[in-house]
Amino acid sequence: MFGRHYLIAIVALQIVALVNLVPSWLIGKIVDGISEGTFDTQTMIIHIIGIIVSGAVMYGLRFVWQSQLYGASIAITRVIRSELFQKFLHLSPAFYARRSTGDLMAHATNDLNAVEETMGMGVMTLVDSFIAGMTVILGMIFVVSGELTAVALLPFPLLVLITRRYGMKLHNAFATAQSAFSDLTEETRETVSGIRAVRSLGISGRQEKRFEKTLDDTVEANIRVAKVDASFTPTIQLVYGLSFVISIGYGAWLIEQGNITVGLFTTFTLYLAQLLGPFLQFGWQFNVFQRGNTSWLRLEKLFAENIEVIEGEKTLPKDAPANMSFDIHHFAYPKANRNVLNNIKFELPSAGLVGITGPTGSGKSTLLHLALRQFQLKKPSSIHLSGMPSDSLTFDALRSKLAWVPQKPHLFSGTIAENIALAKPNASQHEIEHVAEMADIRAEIQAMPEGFDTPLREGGNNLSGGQKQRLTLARALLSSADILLLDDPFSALDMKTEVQVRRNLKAHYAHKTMLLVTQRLTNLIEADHILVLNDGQIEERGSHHELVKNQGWYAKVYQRQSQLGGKDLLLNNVSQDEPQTAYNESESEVSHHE
Amino acid sequence: MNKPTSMKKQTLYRRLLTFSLPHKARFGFAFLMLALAVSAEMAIPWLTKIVIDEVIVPQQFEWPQLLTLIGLVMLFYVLGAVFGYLQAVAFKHGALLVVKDVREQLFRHVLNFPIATFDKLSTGKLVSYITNDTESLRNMYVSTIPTVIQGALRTIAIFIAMALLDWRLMLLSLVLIPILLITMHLYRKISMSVFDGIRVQVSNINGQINESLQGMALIQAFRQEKAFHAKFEKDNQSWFNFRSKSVAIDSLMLLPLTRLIATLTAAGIVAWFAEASLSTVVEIGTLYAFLNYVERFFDPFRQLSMELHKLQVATVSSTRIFELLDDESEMHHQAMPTVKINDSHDIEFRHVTMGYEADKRVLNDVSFTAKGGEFTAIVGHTGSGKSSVINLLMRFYQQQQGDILIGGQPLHKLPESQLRQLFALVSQDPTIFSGSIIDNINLSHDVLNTEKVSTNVVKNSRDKAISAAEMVKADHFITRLPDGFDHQQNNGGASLSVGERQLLALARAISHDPKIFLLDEATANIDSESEETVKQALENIQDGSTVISVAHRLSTIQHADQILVMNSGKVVQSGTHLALIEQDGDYRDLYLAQKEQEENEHKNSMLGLASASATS
Repeated sequence: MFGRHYLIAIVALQIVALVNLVPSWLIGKIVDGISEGTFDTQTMIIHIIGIIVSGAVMYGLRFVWQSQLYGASIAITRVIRSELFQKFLHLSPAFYARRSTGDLMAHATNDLNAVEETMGMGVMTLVDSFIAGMTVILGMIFVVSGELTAVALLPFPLLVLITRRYGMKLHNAFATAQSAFSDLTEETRETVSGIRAVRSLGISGRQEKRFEKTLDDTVEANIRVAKVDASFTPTIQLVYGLSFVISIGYGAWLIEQGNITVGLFTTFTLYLAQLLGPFLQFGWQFNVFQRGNTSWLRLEKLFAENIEVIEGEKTLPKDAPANMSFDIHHFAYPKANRNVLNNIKFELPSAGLVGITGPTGSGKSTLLHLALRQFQLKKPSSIHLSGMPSDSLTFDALRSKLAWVPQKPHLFSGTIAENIALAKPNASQHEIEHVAEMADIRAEIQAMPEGFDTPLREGGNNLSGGQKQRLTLARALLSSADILLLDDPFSALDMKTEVQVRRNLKAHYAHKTMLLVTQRLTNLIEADHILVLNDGQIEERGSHHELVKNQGWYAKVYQRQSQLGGKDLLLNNVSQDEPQTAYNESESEVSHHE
Repeated sequence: MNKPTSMKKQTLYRRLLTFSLPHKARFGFAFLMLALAVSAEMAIPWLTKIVIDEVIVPQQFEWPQLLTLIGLVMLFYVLGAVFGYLQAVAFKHGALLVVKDVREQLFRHVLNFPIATFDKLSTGKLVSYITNDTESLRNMYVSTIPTVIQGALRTIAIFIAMALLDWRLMLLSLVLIPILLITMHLYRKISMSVFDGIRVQVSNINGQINESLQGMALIQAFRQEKAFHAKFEKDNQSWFNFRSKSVAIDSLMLLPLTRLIATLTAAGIVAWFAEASLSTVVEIGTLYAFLNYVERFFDPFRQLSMELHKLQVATVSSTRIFELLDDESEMHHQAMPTVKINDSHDIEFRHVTMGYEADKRVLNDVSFTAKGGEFTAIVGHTGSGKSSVINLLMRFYQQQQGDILIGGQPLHKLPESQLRQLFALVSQDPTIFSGSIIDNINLSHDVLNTEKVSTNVVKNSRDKAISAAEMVKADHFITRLPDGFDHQQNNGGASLSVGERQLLALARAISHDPKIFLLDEATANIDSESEETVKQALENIQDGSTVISVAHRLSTIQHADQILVMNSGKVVQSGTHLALIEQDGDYRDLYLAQKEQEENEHKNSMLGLASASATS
């Protein structure tokens, strides 16, 4: 794609290298003229003009190759960055559970920079040192003397040997340094983003020590790089010096023999000086290429990262029924040795409400992750949407049917309105306000000075936990999806707001299918079906009444939670040892007041 | 007009250089090596001139003399290489140490920022200050400073050598210096805005990647991949446009231009000698040496032009770093003596008024006392100021008016360490640090120095952590993890559910052994059964310790010794549950609303309920 740029650059470089031979050659002729005394003003002026013209020509050509070459390198960087982002967008959550954000950020910044440098500077030095070097050598051979050139270049194999060795060393050192920098970034990020915890736990000292340790590792790794790096130029200069010394000695001998003139000898030393650049670049390019290579390998690993969840190909008709059926034999997270879910089988009927509850860590959220196909289910487990296996559907078909409210609300930078309209960027102000009303947050937003256009700080830090949660709910309601996957969506709401939101949902969204994970069992009273998960298994299932009758975990928790309601649900045997017992009396007192 | 900024720049550079003071011996050594390397390098053309003028041109080949001279040339090459290596290593090492100091200082400084500062600055930016901006500082120390010094040394040496060869031509060559300086200045001026544009775009791009990575599950669930990619492409494209401009400017003004000037200069020198040769005898060796020296003279300028780029980035970076370091909002953390406080640890708010932003009050004349050893609950609607009370107690923020006393002493008089000893906070969304589960519970202990601490102590603290986890029944899920308590957490505990994280945070608080527990909706995501366990655990440890709990659900706080009801930043009611439900007021409204809701649902749930209940 960028071949043309590189080709133009190479051609221009070659011409520059050829033209570059001219000034030294002209100077040599002038020197001969001076030393032989056969010199007149006119020849001199012609020679000088020759030098100036070649200088001007080189300026133009140098501009051409530089802009072409570096232009290509930034264009490539742009493409890689875009593709990397695209890749990020398609990697599954399983990947993000494994890799830290700081580490991925380092890939997208540091490594990409190293690649850019290689594609520009690196290619330039490679081509330039090759072309310029070869041209100068040819010039030395044909203009001056092949014999002298051959002798002068005797130390050259040494150069190849040395640079290769250094290159290997640098590769290793640089890889260590890059990953040390990744660690440093992550360590810093963790402390900064967890600052409240750090502060409240009084562990600044601990964090400082950890930081210092990572910092020491970084310094150590970089010193290794520095040592290899620092030895490059001097070693190459040494090799060059050897060449230089040899050519003086041998050149002197050739002049004594009468084989070359003093002028040609001057030209030769000037050419040799032109070789120093390619010599240095020859070594330096190893350096750049090693870095670029190390970084590119790191990037390539990311690009080669398997997309764990494979998209299907089928689509659904627009009016496909919004029902799902779950048949999960067992499911374990990648690289975990324990099943999170076992034998989960249930139907989510169209416009129905299925509730999922159970103790912390019982696998409730996992069920929603699987519905969204964030992780890959293994056969014979399956989840069907509208009668189609969900893994046969395109992500678009599947996910356009589903609207998810995650347990931990996540907001993006931008305004409140933009955040609500995440799934429907062209939503009208009216629609946005409507769903905000449904999530019982409209009044609070409108009370803000900028209303719906209030910009959010990073992670929505200028909102309370309850506000964030209701915004994410509003966002899900605005999407046209028929199925709502609600993961503990009321946990941060106070009771009054929760009740209001639940009422709104019931009144306006009864036509939607809902899968509701919750700890508050009052939310489940009207559910068509309730699953109680414990340790990944369905421990109880049935309607609210059935479960209450069942006298299991559900009934026990429900009774405890409903004490507040003043209903004398408490069975004597359950509540005796509970501290709340004392308050039952007070509740009956309230009843008297009514 | 430019005066003030250049003045500012001067102080900036001076300040930057002060960071090298602690390592001045190393840098001094580096300078010495550099000077030696430059001297060795400069001797070479001179020796070559001698070879040409005394041996080659007169064609008097006395081989012993020639070989001695050649040997000397080689010797100087070797010396140049050795000194050059030592110089480079010393500079780089010194630079790394400087950057280490800056990073350490920054990190420590940032750790002491008030929370309000963290609200203002995004995490990504702060992290980038500490890692990336310091990295560009390092570039400056590693390459810019040595290049400038090397350039200056070389230029001086070259002009001395040229003066010795031909002082009139040397004087003429001096013209080059202003020419080159003017080009550099022009380049700087033209490229400044382009560099700024690049930097802004890079930070936009990084911000977007960071945000997208964190919200990826959501982006995918709502099928917004395309929209995010399009937004990203816009910044990527604009980065490309700025970068293209900078490439064009570089190609016009950097290497090609200096090479042009170099060629023209060479032409001038040759003309000068050729002209002279018409009237007098000129030494070819001198001409050679002149050409060689002038050629070397351009090297530093060429390198310097390239360094300008880095210098510019480093200037911006260091400005940012210094701004951060100068942020005076840092709280006073000079060592304060431990304050003797009453054993009862009563917490008292006296007419406290506070707002996060100047014109918006979140707490308005709040007064209450939370007795030591008792359970105080704070309830109220979202936004009523409940969490702000906790924030003030944790000293995350500072009240504008009023006093907060603990054990009879003003809260702000307490040294940081004493404050953290007294309080343990469990928040709604607890932070999990990377490291093992046990480390996460054990945080307050010095885990890193375990080698120095006797194994007994380690074992004790481990036991303590485990028993704390058992107390809140967190051990149930922990033992199910691979490696159990030694399970390594990565990426902020992303593999744990919010409820699990809350349990861990509770265990952490308990093992911390505080006098006062602050619970900010700490059990919102824990299932009711675990919540019961947690409540019991808290009651067990409550002998003597104070609990202040913010809660939405009244069920969790009915047994509190005191309930504070907040509304719009004020405490509107206080008392026990029993007392409060008998009064007309917010609490009863809240209570009745919850109750009514329950009743509605009971009715809706029809008969199944009645048969399930044992009573009426």
